[in-house]
Amino acid sequence: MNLKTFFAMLHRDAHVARRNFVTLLLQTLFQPMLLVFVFGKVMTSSGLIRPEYKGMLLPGIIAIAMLLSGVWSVAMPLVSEFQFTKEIEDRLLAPIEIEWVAVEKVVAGMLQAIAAGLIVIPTAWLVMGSGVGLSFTRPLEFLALALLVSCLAAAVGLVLGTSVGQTQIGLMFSLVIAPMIFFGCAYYPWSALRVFPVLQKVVLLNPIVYASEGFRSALVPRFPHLPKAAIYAGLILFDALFVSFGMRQFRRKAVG
Amino acid sequence: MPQRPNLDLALTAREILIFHGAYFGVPPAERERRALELLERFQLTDRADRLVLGFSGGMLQRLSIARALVHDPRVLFLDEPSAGLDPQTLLWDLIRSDNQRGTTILLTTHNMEEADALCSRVSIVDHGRMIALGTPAELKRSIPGGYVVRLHLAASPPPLLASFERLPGVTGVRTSGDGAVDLYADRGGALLPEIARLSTEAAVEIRDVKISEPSLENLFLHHTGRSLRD
Repeated sequence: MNLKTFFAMLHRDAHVARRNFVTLLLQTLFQPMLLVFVFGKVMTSSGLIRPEYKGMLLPGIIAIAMLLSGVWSVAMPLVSEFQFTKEIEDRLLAPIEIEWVAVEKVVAGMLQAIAAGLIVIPTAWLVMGSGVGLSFTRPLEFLALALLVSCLAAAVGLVLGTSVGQTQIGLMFSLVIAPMIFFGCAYYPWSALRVFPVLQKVVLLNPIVYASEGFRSALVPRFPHLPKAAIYAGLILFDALFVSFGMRQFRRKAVG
Repeated sequence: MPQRPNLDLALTAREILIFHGAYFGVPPAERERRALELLERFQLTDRADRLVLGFSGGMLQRLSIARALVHDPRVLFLDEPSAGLDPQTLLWDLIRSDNQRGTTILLTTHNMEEADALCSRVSIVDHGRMIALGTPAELKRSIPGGYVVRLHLAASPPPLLASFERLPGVTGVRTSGDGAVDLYADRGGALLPEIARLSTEAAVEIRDVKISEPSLENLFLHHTGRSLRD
């Protein structure tokens, strides 16, 4: 492991991200913000949805914004770098182990996911107006969750970016990521699924559930949420799963 | 430097050099300086701050070599450097000047002319086996005769081949796999009247004649029985 090389690569990714800042922002935050506006503002102000829903929605939106930007920022460049441009070799040539190149990608993705989360919180709050009622009394819990969720996002991006070709990546987003978001308990708490007992069990296989419920437990603990032990266990398990699988795929693609 | 450019498409030419220097631990001021110097030498200064996406094949090739030089390596590996689109001489001058600055260069090429012009030591590899090693001059001297006259004949009866071999200046006659006959000799065109006479006497039609002067290409031919284009 070569720290200098590692940080030079992070620096490179930050440099490119800064250059593409606006595009990145629109790509990953536009959709969540539309949702915030329609569900958090239009529906609540018109009385179709009770105003308390705002507080329920915001943690889910944070989870989704972080996931989308983390997945996107790792997967999209990887897909093209591994394709015919073979751009990835530019990084693989550097004096650092292949695994650390993958770790760097994950760390860069985590930073982008966290940045997205930090942008979404105040923006969504502003859009929804009064009555969101977030409590920031558990900063350490929030920090731990933010790290775990951003790691999940970047690791899913690593898996997608190393397993899916350029032609299927769009399809992956609409066929895999979109349903994961809708069944990720972002727009409703997990407990609301009790009327669909089978679905309620099945969605536990969806890592986004733990992200949404996790932020709910930290930011709006007055609402029902999964027990903390289950949240952390779920996030840590899925993090480990996707990181190890993504690293394996990365190695296979880089060497093959 | 790889055969196909694999540059970082999200960066400008200057940034590619600077970041590559950073990956290899070149200090900040030093890598800025080297980047500018290399852009100048490789005639890319006017493109320094553009993304490389729109560069021509030759520019990508030159930038790839520049990238390989940012951290001042002691050995430079160049894989088919003239596969790009620049005039060869420009690239050759750049490679020579680096070699003179003390960089050892290992160059892979299928262009024998290039190997002859640039390399102080040449190893010829065919199907993963090294078939010759030495300076270009040594290698060229090692071919019997130097000239190769390759004949395509309608038939190749052994008495005719034997009579070829007895011609003055011919050091060897070989038949290659595809039916061609190679005469190794110290002359080229001057042999043709004799060859034509002998063939007519033997009632064998000559379908094609190719004369090659002493070169590494002939050496390859001599060792493998195939020309590089086969």
